[in-house]
Amino acid sequence: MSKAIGIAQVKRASVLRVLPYALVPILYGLGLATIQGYSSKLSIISLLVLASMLGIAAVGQTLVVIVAGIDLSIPFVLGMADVVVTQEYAAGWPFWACVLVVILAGAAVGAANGYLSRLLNVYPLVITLATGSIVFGGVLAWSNGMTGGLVPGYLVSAVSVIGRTGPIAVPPVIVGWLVIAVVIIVVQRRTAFGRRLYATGDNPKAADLAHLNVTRVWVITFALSGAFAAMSGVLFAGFTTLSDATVGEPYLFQTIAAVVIGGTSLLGGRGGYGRTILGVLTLTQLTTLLVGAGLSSDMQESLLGLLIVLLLAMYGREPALESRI
Amino acid sequence: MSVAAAPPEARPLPQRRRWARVVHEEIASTSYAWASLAAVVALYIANVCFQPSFVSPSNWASILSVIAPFVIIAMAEAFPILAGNGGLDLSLGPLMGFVTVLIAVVLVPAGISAPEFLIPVVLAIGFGAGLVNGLLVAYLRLPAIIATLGAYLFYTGFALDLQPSPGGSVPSWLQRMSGSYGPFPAVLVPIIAIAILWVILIHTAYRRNLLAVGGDDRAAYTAGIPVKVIRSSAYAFGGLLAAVAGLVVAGMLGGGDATVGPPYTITSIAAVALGGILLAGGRGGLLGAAAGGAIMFLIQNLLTVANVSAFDVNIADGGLLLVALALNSFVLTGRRRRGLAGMRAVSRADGTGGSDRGGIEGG
Amino acid sequence: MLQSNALGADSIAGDRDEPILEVTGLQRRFDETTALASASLRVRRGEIHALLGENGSGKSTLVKILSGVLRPNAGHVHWEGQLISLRSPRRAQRVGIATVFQETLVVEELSVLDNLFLGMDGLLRKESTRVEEERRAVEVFDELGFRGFDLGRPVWTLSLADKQIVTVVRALVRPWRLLILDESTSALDREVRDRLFGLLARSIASGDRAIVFTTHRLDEVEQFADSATVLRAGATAGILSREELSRGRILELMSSRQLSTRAAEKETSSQVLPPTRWVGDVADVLRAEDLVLRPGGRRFSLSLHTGEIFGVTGLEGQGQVRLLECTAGLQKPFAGQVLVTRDGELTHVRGYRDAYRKGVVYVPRDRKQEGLFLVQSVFNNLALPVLGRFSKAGLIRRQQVVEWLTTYTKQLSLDTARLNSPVGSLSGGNQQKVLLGRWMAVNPVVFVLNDPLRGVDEVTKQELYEVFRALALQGLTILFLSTEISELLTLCERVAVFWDSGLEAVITGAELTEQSIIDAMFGRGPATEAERA
Repeated sequence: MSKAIGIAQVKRASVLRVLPYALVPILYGLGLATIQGYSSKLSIISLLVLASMLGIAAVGQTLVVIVAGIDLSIPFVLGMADVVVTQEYAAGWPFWACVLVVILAGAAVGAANGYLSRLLNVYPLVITLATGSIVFGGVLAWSNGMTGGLVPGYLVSAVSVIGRTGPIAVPPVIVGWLVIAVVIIVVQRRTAFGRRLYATGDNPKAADLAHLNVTRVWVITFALSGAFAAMSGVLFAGFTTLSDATVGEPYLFQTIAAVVIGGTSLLGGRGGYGRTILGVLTLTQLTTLLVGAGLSSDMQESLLGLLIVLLLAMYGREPALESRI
Repeated sequence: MSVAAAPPEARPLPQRRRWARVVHEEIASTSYAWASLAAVVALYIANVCFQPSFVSPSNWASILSVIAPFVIIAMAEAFPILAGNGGLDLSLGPLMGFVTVLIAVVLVPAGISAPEFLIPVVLAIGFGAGLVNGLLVAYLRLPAIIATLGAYLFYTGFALDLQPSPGGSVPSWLQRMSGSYGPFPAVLVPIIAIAILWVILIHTAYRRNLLAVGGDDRAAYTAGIPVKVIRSSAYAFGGLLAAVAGLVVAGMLGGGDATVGPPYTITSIAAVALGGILLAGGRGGLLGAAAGGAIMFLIQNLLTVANVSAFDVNIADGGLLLVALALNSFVLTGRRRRGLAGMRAVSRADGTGGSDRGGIEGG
Repeated sequence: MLQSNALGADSIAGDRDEPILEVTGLQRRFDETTALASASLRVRRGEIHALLGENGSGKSTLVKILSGVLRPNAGHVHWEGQLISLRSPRRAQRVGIATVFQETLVVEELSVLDNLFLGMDGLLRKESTRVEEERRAVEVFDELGFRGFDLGRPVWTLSLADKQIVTVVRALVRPWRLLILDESTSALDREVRDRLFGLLARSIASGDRAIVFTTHRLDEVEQFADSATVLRAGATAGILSREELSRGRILELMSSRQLSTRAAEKETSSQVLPPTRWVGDVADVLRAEDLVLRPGGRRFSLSLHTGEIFGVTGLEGQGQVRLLECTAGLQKPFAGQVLVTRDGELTHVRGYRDAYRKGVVYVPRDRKQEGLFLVQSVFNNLALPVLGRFSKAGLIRRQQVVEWLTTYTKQLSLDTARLNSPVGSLSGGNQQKVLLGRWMAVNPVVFVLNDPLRGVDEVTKQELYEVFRALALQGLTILFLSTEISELLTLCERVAVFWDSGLEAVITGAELTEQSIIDAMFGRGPATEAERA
């Protein structure tokens, strides 16, 4: 997929560029108007907990999208982490070891994704679908389809609405997300790795010729994606207290949607995690509103699909063919 | 001082007879699918080894009716992929499931059950649904992944809402889908109909238009091809074929089932890749897609028959897709290395023009 | 020299005075940039009209509007007296305007024949039968001097030059009334180009067609054009009739500054005084030993020394690009080796990374596709290779980087106010400066430049000539490939001409003239007998 963007880039009108930022408060206003107790501390914290989990899973997706790739294996790695961490903990391993193992496994899957995509010169879309499938089957085979497991109490309270981080009445997962967000944004903007990331996404051919090790960038980026997906899986284990390889399924769409709604282009080379945070907050509020609207979960799913498409029609469009000539 | 060696490639115009040239081209245009067809044959034989009853004619109808969705959805998916620019349609599986639900729960109860009404209505719905996706991608320029993922959610949710659990009923003529007319499996009818449609299409200008749009849309556009129209039409055809699959599946199940569709998303893309079709677009056709669909089915069947656990089927699917991608990429890089690109095709009137052996670019 | 077609047109009666194409007040903006402010163009029937202008003058935007790719914000386009709107390339072709773009736009998987007739059909309906198409194609190829071009072959098997020929023939097989050639001649051989213009002159002799061509080669304008329109800063700066066409006048109109007479003279003269030399020790810096570029190619050896600007050229496909790629380590030669000095010793070049570590930097030909990151800022493009050096604890120290880069941006006269703008918004000349600046900033030993002045406007070219000379004065060795002989004559003391996958001649000193280079390009180099094995 060549991406020759000429001088004539179609930029969105300034109103539309502000939209990703404006959506967050607009939706909040809508929530206030339609849902009882929307402004209560409990409500806000539960919103932020959901956002944190999506946000952490979306870190990897963001980085991958910046290098002009996409990662569809995230939900499967997430499920893998959920199952493995709960079952290993139930088998008696210390929890920190279980977490380490799944994060390394996730990183390994991601590294394979990045490497194979480069080696075979194929869209990561298909590679990650394939590896995701393998991981999914692999986990099911490994666990023999069993769904029993254990989680430590502190994990559950880390993602619980009433959890506390030390003296602060905010669950650790939210604080964790904040820290991660700051680190990622700093890496994007102020490190050489970040610059290389954007350059690689902008023009992989030029990056190659400019002596950037594109394969290394891809491997590291996808490995990070896998690691964060696994991290998210661990959090899911605490949140759902389920040991289920399919828990991650909603995140297939939601991580991509969060990135794109935030305004980062799938073509790579621009945008960033700051934007994804906006997308995460928007998406989480949207789903909460739909739940509050009393629709069946199926209709919610249906409407969500429609709404995302609608939003993207406003500012998520690819450049016109004419501008690429 | 000598001028360059013998002028390369001073071939006379092909003076062969017309039919010979036509045959030569038909063969050349399907060359991308040969490996896949060979794989189908090999897998068929393997299946027969494990399950001798596989080959018996009395089973053909039922086997074909199980293969049919794989093959038809793969052919459906081939259209948007061929149209290029990263195009694909992740919603074709759910669309198929949605169609089965529509038939069982909406259309038949509303009285639309005779074939001369039901078939056109369903096909129109499929075509329209595909067209909507095509408009989103080609005219609104939404990234295909997102637009069709959104459509995926839409159809899955909507179908489940209409019919939370499988059931309903379909007209009796449709139920014969899993049977035969004499020795002739009924399910071959839609497949052959699709094949006829495709053969007609590729003998019009559509083939050139579609492959050009898929191969390099800038070249197509500047040459005067209406790129957006062609691209949307590809999605529309994809939807049309998904609707055909919906008819077939509804007939086989005897009712509607909203959950039958989503698993086909991954298999349809794998099937297309396995069929020798370039995922970036511009190369391939429905023959390869059908072969790819058959391969997906035959492998899954082989694993089931060989008593491999259901979980390993997932692994096999993924592994298979990777293998297909590796082969795909191998062919392409092989081309470049062999240096076929870069041969100067011309001999000038004065005989000069050094030949460019090897390398893609001149110089 | 071609006969002026204006003579032919004048002798035809009727309302032939009405121009075939008239453009007035054309405007086109892209967000904040105004590409065209008020452009006008008038093309008479039966004439070959040149469209000239620096990069950033709006020339390519105007071509895109005429070919239907872009739509203007304001202004009128009249075709044969009628106001028309060119909504798409399809529409433009229906009207009779055929365009050959600068970029080689072909569909690799389709056959030559399919590529030629792309877009002429309806959605399903084919415009002409296969037999008719073949006949028409053979007709045009024959007129261009190509016999037996295999029409059934997929285009990916062709060389770049042949692909470009396909795009030219694609325009010619259509029933065109106005043919627009946008820098299309640059990829063609002289011979092919001459034949093409010959064919074109014959085509428009009947008087109801016309041709517009854009080029940076002023010699082509002098040779082929009946009249010219010069654009500057998005508006028509002047229209020149045949008698007024001279390089000096054209340059004057193209640039807003009066070029010094000396510079103008330099442009027109083909003999240039050798540049001031590096005065330090002269040593071999880069050596190609017993090199055979491809199987069957001729063996040769070359040696470049400190402070030298060494020119390389040849017809398309004769091995010169291959030589550059071998010296940069991008390709391995079929036989022989490339050596580079490191710590006073000549060492073997083992690959691209290895060459880089030894101080060899390669600047590719296609700056947009292979060199620059168009969405990234100027700063990012400039600083990318040196970022690692200026990072502390992983964080970039921006101030230090900016200081480091200032030396180079000053030398290049690159406006640093735009450090944060995306590179894609810069003009071609400035983009090339950014690319060169990036690599100057790593202080290379050898600069391998693949046609760096391609598509660069005159003013920037002059600036870059000075930059290259200054670099050579500092002891840098420059391997400079160009397809424009005037550039080679201006900069280089020695020029290697390639022919038939091998070195034909190294021309230097008094023999370094345009004619001797051209002769060598066709295999008639001086002293070839003596050099042949």
